[in-house]
Amino acid sequence: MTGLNTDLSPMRGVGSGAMRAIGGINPLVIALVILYVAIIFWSDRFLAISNQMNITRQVAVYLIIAMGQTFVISSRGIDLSVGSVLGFVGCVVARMIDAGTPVPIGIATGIVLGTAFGTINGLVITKLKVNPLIATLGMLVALRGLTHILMGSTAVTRLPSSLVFLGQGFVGPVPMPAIISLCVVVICWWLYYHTRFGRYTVSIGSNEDACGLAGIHVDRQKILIYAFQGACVGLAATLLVGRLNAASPDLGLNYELHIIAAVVLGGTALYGGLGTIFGTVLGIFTIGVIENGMVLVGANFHVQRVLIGTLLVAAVAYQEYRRRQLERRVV
Amino acid sequence: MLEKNSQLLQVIHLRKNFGAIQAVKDVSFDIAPAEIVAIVGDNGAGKSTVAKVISGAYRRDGGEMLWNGGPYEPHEPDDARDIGIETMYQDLALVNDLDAAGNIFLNREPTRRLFRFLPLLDHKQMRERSAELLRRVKIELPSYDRPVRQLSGGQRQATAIGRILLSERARLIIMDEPTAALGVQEQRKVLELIRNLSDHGMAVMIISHNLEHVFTVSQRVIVLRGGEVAGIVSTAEVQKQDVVSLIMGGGA
Repeated sequence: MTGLNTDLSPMRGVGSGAMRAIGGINPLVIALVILYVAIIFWSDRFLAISNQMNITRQVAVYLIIAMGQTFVISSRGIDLSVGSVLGFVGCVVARMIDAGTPVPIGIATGIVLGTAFGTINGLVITKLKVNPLIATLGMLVALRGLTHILMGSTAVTRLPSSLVFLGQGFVGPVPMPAIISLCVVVICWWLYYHTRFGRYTVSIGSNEDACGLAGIHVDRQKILIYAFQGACVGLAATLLVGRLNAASPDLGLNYELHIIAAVVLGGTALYGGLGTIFGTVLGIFTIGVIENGMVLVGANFHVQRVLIGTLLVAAVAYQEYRRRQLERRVV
Repeated sequence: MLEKNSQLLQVIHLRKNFGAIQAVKDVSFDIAPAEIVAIVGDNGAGKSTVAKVISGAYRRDGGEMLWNGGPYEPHEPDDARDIGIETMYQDLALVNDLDAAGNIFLNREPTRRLFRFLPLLDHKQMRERSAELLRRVKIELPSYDRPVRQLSGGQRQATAIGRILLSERARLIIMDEPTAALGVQEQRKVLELIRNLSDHGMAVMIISHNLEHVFTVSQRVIVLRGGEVAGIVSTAEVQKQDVVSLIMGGGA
């Protein structure tokens, strides 16, 4: 027997790891380069180190949440509740610290609380068999209401300097939130590509039945994924409260739209099984650069929304095109 | 009637009902170690039901099964797998976005430690051991690190076989229509593969509509009709036409 050898050589050299998700170089790299060149043309302040660092600080909170969402979407799930969980956890942590709780305990509480809400999402989705879109939409609405009940019309301001340092401080020229978000990205990259947790996440998104037949505990894995997303949101909430040096009941409103847009923009597929950590980082930065650049250029605030929306649809259209191209090569 | 001991699997007066419908009325046959047996029959003859009772997916309503001479009473597919009965489903149950090595090792991934501390999936070991496993049955895949979505039907089938070989317990492999979705070239290779499995001491039970393939590869053919055994013939002694007659129930 000569073996089941079919020449697939045209496929050779298609990248590996993060790049493989959409085959070849992530088109967002090109989009980012174009954005940079265009914005530099209009604004000489844009490229300054201080402004670039400012971008990393602005996107840090988004980036941490989007890391968790990359896992959720890769497993063919979705978590719409991230903005509301962010708001609730942020307010609770701010209240606790304002009332005298030590900052480290406040941060730990934030992460635990976020994990708990994520676990509830996971349990509702797996045990009550509620569609993720609905389960997390319910959480989005209910938790926002709960936050307003908790806070009344008040807001917490002037938090301890150690918490503010986490959100606003610098180490040399590098903002603290940027350092923390980079750590989260590295951990997620390891989890996603080098652990069973990451592998089962993608596999469940690709073929849940096959995973069950192979003996993977599908429900348990899904609950872990949503819990992990919750932990990311919990951490992000404490950073955001530190950065704003305040917490109000509208904290994190509409964040879910930015996060999901960035993850999908980066190349993670909504139908699961296909995701990229690097792509999510690019997606978040693309949105961050547009927001920052448009302010510097002096463009109308609404122009950036038009730009982001258009880019999102264009990116997904391109990914679909690439995917069909790859599938046609099947012999 | 049935020989003792030397048989791998003995099925004796097997019966299975679905409500009022008797899908399997009375089926008896046996499979010897490393034997290739085909089950044929018209739609509704009970082929798949018999296979699913053996693989533990259905529970029988009557009769008896012996495995290596001892009683065999599977409650779920894992019971069958534990003693060495593996089933290859028609859709292969592969994770299309994982590579072949990833599929073969799904839920059995080896890990290594970076700096003796950080656990990492051992991609290299998975690829090497996958290639080694498949080489044993003379299969060479063009790539072990490309999503199986991009592989051909035969290569995907090879990947599913790799999963079975990894368990190292497999003594009987049940294949549901293994050649149905393949091109002519690949069909031939799958038949070669089935022979290779048998050469390595594994019995294979094929469910197939394709008598051409059945006669190419199997030693005996069990013909089912209306939930009963219409005949068990040796492919060396009869013609295809005889089997067709048995299937249709017209003479012989």
